[in-house]
Amino acid sequence: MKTFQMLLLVGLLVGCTKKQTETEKPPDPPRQSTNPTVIAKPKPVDLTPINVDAFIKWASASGLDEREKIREEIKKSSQNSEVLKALIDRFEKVDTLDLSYSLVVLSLIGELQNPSSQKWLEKQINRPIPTVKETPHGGLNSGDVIEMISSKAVESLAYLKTNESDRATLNVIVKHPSKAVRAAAIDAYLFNHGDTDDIKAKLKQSLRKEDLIYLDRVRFLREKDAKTFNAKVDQFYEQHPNEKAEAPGEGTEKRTRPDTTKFVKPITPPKFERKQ
Amino acid sequence: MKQILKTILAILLATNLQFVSLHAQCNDGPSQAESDLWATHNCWWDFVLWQYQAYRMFDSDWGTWGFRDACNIALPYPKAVNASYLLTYGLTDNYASQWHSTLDYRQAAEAWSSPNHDQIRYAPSASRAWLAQAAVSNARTDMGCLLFDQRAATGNPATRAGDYIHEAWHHWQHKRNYIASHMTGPIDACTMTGSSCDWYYWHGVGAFDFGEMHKYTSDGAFFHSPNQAQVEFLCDIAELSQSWVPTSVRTIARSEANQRLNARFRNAVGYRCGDPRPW
Repeated sequence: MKTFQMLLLVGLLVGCTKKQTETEKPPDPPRQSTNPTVIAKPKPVDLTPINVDAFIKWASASGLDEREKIREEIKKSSQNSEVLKALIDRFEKVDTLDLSYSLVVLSLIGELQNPSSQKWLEKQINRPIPTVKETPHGGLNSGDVIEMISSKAVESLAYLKTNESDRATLNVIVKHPSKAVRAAAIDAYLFNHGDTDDIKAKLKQSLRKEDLIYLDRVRFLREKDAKTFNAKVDQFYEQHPNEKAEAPGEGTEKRTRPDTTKFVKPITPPKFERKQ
Repeated sequence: MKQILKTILAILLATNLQFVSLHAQCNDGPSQAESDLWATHNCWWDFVLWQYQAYRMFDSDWGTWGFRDACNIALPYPKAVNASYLLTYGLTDNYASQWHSTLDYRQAAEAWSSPNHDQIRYAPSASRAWLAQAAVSNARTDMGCLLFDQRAATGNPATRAGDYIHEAWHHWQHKRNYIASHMTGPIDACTMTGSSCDWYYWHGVGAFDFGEMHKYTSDGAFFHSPNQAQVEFLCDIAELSQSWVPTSVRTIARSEANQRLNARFRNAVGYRCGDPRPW
């Protein structure tokens, strides 16, 4: 019996040592590519029909530090119908195949502020939204994608700031079947009319009852005073107490796995260096 | 002779099938936002060598997913690195205006054991039934093809980084004995069908000190749901990112944040992300 116990002890010790060695062994690092992908940062170009692809690339890759420069370039071509045509063509070629590209092109079309874009924008806003049975966990479904495009399109429509575009935006606010698109339209309409109390009061008369709440929403912006932002959102929940989340209470689920991992001091990432 | 030919054919077929299963898991190729972000670092090798340890992405899981071709942006593993890069360096850490700090988001997304969750690891999956899922009982986050496919709306670094946070928050739920899932919709303001809805527990900007996002109270005054943690990160990227973060990345981050704010929460949320000026 004693021999058996000794053997068991030795076995356990060996097992533990082996496990420890396994966890301590540094894992194999990734391997470099034979032909690593190197992408050069696009250079600034004018927005012309010929340059439109290069311009999209530059604009898409640009950061906030180039935003005003790009706005100026877009303004120069604002009423150039060939530029508008070329941008619409690029959007339609890609559409939902690369949402990150399409949203950039749609933003450029919107910033052009060319009234000739209205009909096309309305077409994007009124795309049928697919009925989806179930969304993949954590994902976006095909309905979300269309709503994201339509929302961006209605922001562009409202930004035209003409009587006709105002009427069309109001039409979206009242009639669009998607709550997400109506919410985007309300926000854009208010924004382009200076967010005044008068415009809110006017809009209130046209809204569906369930959309009135969107008049009281606040924008989370880069340049904001957090105190004012917080106070306004607090006010939103005071005005709409039913929208407060239910208290979660204490967690009562049984863990399926005990926490056996030790707290390890993480390795610090390398110091940031701007490459391009 | 016929038998030998049959055997050879069978071996060839099996080998070929194996080849397919090992190398054609997701649709390769980068989206626009992927390429734009990649161009800001072009596979900074020191970062890659840190990333695989911080996210516990190992050869045993990622070997045939680009781990052995780690600077090829067409492949899943380098795309995962790209999203980690955005999460690690992309924010300004503006104390006055940001929802939470880089440290908070890093603690959530990285695999080390932290106040957010026990030690986890990340593994790829060819599934498209979900974007990703926190396998809480196995201390693992599975990342599906929809996070990597070139033509998926979610195949971009902003969504992928946001999803690191979303899944991390399921691990947080597990650590704190909450159910690691969502409510089934549609329900109240949440328009989604299926298990996609959460509460949004409103807290002001600055209510959580930097580094304290993991803290909570049972009355919900300090609490995050997975969609909420994800939206706050996406909104921070959209509005408070570093000046070099590409417009394509910020634009899709804002768009997704607003889409989730409108459709994923059982209660209406009192704010929208960003302003509606097109550029």
